[in-house]
Amino acid sequence: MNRAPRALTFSGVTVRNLMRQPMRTMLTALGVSVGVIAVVALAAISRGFWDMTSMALRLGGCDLLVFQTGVAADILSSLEEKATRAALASVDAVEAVAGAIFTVQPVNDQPFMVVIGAREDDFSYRQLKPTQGRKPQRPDELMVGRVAAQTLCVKVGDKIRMGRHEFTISGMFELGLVVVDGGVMIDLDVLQEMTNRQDQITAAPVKLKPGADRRAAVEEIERRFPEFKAISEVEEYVKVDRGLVIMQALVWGVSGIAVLVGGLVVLNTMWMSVFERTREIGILRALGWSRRRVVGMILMESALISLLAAAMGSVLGVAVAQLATVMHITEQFVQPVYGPALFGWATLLAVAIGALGGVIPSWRASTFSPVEALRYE
Amino acid sequence: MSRTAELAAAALEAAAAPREIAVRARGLVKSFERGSIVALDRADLTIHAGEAIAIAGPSGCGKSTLLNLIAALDRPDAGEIEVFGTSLRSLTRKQADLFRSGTIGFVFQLHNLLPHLTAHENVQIPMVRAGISAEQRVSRASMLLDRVEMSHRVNNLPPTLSGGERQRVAVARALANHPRLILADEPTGSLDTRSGSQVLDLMRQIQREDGVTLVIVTHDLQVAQSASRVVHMRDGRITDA
Ligand SMILES: Nc1ncnc2c1ncn2[C@@H]1O[C@H](COP(=O)(O)OP(=O)(O)OP(=O)(O)O)[C@@H](O)[C@H]1O
Ligand SMILES: [Mg+2]
Repeated sequence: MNRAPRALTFSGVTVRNLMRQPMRTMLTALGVSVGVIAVVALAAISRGFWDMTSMALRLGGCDLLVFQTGVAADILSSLEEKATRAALASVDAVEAVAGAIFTVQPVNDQPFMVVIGAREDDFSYRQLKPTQGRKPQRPDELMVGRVAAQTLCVKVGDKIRMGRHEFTISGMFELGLVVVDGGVMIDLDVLQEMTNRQDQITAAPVKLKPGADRRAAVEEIERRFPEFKAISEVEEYVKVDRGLVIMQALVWGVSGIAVLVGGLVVLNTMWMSVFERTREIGILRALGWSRRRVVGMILMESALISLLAAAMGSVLGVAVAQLATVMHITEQFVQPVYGPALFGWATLLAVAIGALGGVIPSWRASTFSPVEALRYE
Repeated sequence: MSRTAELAAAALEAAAAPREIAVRARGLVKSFERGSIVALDRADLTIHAGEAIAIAGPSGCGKSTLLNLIAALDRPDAGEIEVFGTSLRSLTRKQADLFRSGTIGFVFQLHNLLPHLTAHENVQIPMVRAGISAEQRVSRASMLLDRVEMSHRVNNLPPTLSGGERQRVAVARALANHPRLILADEPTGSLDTRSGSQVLDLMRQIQREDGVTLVIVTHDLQVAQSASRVVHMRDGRITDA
């Protein structure tokens, strides 16, 4: 028994054209998706950094973070603790000032581990409730974050090594922020001594009085104390750390490369495909198809390849970003974030790739004289 | 002669007298390769509406070139060509595309069908445009395939059809948009005599039933005899029009 024949549509024709060489279509889409994978993974990680930074800014009821002016990265900032506390306390809107060191140290066999030094009685630290054990009470005790405990394969009561010193894990904490949970927390005095930074801190978390305006406080602090950079929003973080800007620039750069390479891949495939179909294009023209429709057909084919690549690239990009986390490459530092904007960006890339790769072959197809095309065997 | 017979004859003559002209070509010139190849050399031809005409001549005498000019696929270097009163010289490219899809049905010799589309889909191709609904496309394609006795092969891909079957599908496709003029360039060139004459009979039958004009180009005099009129071509000119 015959299947009932179905209507042929314009988009149906283009899909059928692509299905003719399924392997070529898939391989082309796969080639294009490599760039999309890179962009999606990188953008997810960059977005993760961004979100994490904005959460870190509010940790422990913090309104502002104050750093040293003119540094390239937040962990390179250095302030004198006593003077900084006194200066910031003199600002009207300020309710409380804390001091902290954020640094990176080798711990056991991990070459880079976030180490945070904090003071027992500071507002930001007082709030912290260990999920297991207790806060350190002796100089040779410290707390590990949940992720760090996993990475180091340690539990409360175990001993770990940092430089020449040995510590006992008195407790474990979890703040839901990978960069912090991936680190260890230690008394500020101990860390200052251990790293030879007496009376030094990297940043001063500041809590404002209820109802105080953060922006106004930032302005006042920076006006009165030019040696300070105060940050209340993640957008201002670039003042002390170029990391976010570099990440963002990297996403743009890789996107550009993805469009260029993907565009060339599509161009190559569609260019060959147009020439292979010279006679068919002549037949279509003889049957009354306009140039415009032939151009549309080629453009739509390259658009479909690119959208397929965007879909494949999005799925694989998420897989790559997750894999980087699962394989302990990034998990102590960042949790990738996948928003609708990310997949919107991937789709936009695909459109650009499709346009770049489709325009030239479709233009070429439109210049085929139907007479010549029909003579072509 | 009886009075009634006389009247009937007069009426017939009156009806036939201002016979509509399908194609009027005057002094067509077309050359290629910057004039070194003269494919048409002042060709004149008149084809009446409803006629079945064969254009016969040896290979390279300019038959396909003439057909392409009639279909507005190409433009003459000199001369005038009118199809159903439309002067093709004055058409813009867009108008030429519209003219072709509305007036002309094409049948070629070889590689006529798109190989990855079924017979039914091939017949639908000329109808893939604004103004024809999906249901209309499907039902008209089915009807046309039925008419060329191919309704048992609607879902077949061209490579699974015999040469004669493929040409019958091509004839159905040429009829898709109710053309007034069917142009067939060597439609039986790749067929054996038997399936060739089947295809020719089919085209003649459709031409008579629908009153369309049929132009068959061939180098085979046997094939040419199936038309109601044969004109001969030689070196880019019609020798006996
Ligand atoms: N696009 C073209 N470019 C160059 N030469 C062409 C072109 N089209 C036709 N010709 C030449 O013009 C002459 C007439 O060609 P045409 O195809 O009209 O002949 P034909 O009568 O259809 O021949 P055949 O029976 O072999 O199909 C030939 O010499 C051919 O080589
Ligand atoms: Mg020819």
